[in-house]
Amino acid sequence: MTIFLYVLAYAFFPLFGLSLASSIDSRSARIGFAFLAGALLLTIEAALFTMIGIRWSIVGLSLPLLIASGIVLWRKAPELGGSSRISRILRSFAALRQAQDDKSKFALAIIGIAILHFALSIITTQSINPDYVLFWGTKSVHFAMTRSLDAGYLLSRYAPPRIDYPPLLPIVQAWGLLFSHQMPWITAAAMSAVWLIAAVPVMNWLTGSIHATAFWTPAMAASLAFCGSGGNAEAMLVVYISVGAAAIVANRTSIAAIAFAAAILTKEEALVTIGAILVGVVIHDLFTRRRGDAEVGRWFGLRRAVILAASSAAGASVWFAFQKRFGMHPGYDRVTLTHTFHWSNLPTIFREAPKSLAAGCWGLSWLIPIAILIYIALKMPRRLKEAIPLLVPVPLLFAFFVYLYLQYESSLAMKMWWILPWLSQPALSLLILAAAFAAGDRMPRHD
Amino acid sequence: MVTMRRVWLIGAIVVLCGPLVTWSSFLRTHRIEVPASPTENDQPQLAAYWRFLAAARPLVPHGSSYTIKAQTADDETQLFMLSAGLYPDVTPYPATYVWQPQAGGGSEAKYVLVYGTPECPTDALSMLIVTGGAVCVRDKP
Repeated sequence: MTIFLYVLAYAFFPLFGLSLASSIDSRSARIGFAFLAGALLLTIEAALFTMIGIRWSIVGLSLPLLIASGIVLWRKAPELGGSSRISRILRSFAALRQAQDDKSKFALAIIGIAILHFALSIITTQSINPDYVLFWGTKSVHFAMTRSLDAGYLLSRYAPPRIDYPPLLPIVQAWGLLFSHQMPWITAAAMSAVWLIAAVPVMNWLTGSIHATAFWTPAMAASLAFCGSGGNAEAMLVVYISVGAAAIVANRTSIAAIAFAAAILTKEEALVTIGAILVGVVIHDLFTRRRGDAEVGRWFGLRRAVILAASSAAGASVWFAFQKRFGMHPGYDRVTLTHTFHWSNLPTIFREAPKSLAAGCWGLSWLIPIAILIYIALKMPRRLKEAIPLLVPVPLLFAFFVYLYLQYESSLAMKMWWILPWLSQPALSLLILAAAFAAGDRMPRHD
Repeated sequence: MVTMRRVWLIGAIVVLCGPLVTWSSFLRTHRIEVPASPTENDQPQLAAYWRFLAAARPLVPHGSSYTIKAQTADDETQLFMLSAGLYPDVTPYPATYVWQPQAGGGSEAKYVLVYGTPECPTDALSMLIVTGGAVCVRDKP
């Protein structure tokens, strides 16, 4: 019963997020993105509730979000075909069912196997992250017990590690605990796979290619399982960053803005990745827009980057405002930079990096998209243009890793083996998506 | 474009070979059974800590207080971090916190969770043996 109630709680997320997903024309992508957006809205609401002194409850947290979704759906209903408004709304929840060719069915089977791999790796406790039992899950239990984002616990004499980590994951897990009352530890960790499930229709919709999505999913599932990402925030981070980055190329800036706001509330590593992506957006928008484009203006080259930076800052500001409200140090403490460079680290960095980039499949998930991109660069170089926002951040992120590792004073090889596999996952996802967009035929559909 | 679709699908199958090898190795060396802890097959030491804390949990009532004793500061630190998720409704008095011995050494706690050798402190007379250690009870409110 505990497991059933915990899983049931996650069924509310798509309902919470529909207000932000109503502009998506594909039903399956709308439901998938509504799930992701629902977690973001719940996080913001839960943080605000604590800041103004309202204790969490299932009804209290659900009602405002359900009303918001209801209003948006009600206003959207006339745009959907059908006999009555209610029936049109109900139909909008139904999963998309399209005629599919054999290759698409095969792609769906691959996606199913990949997600099953990640979920079963967690359920059999091969891929549950130690941080989950040491502090992520611990925070969730305390937040649910006190029905708040418990600053008293975070500031207590015996506080858990990483009190500066943003709150999306503990709030999502605490939401499940409001239903189940007891923590089903392995089930709660296995719910990490649900983020991948939610992302699949969104990636399919954004890339316009179920076949590229069928590569992205096993690549990310293998990597997440390899990194032991059950129960921690890695799956969420990778999904939010990937959806946001793909939405940029698909010219869905509002989707990207929402995804980046969620990413920044998931893990502070998002700051670096989003920063690198924004550099790519600026380069793309400044140098590749055609003169004839209707939106070209004096500052158009910076417009999308400014919007995305503002949404990311807005996401972070919720957490920083909470920290300031309760006397915590506002900001992230994660990366300690000494700015003392040990150049003798360079040989170790280049020797150890390939091992850490195995991603659960001997590095093939890196090599295959690289091969595709090289082929496209040689045969159809113009196709790479639209993928610039995804291509630019990859070398930038690796340059950042080198910059980081040059400052390590000891045990570099061991620390790289611990950190680089999960730290490099957003870069891996961006590389695959760049190849997908460059190789695909998506642009006409979204344009 | 048909060719590119084929490339993606073949690539996906090739990538899935990694998980296939992982699973064949796992199934050769492990029995399929309900795990006793969340880190059972990946972090055996954490799993041992977890099993001990989970076994002791029913003996420590809601609203009371506990401390943890173990052979090393590292054991006590990790046991305490884990216990925060399993004993959220019990007041902690860790003997060691973040590898640093604490003033009082947990002497304020009514329940002493002893990991490893089941030996109670001298002021805790009552002892209950559990998986991986013992729960000792001090005679205080």
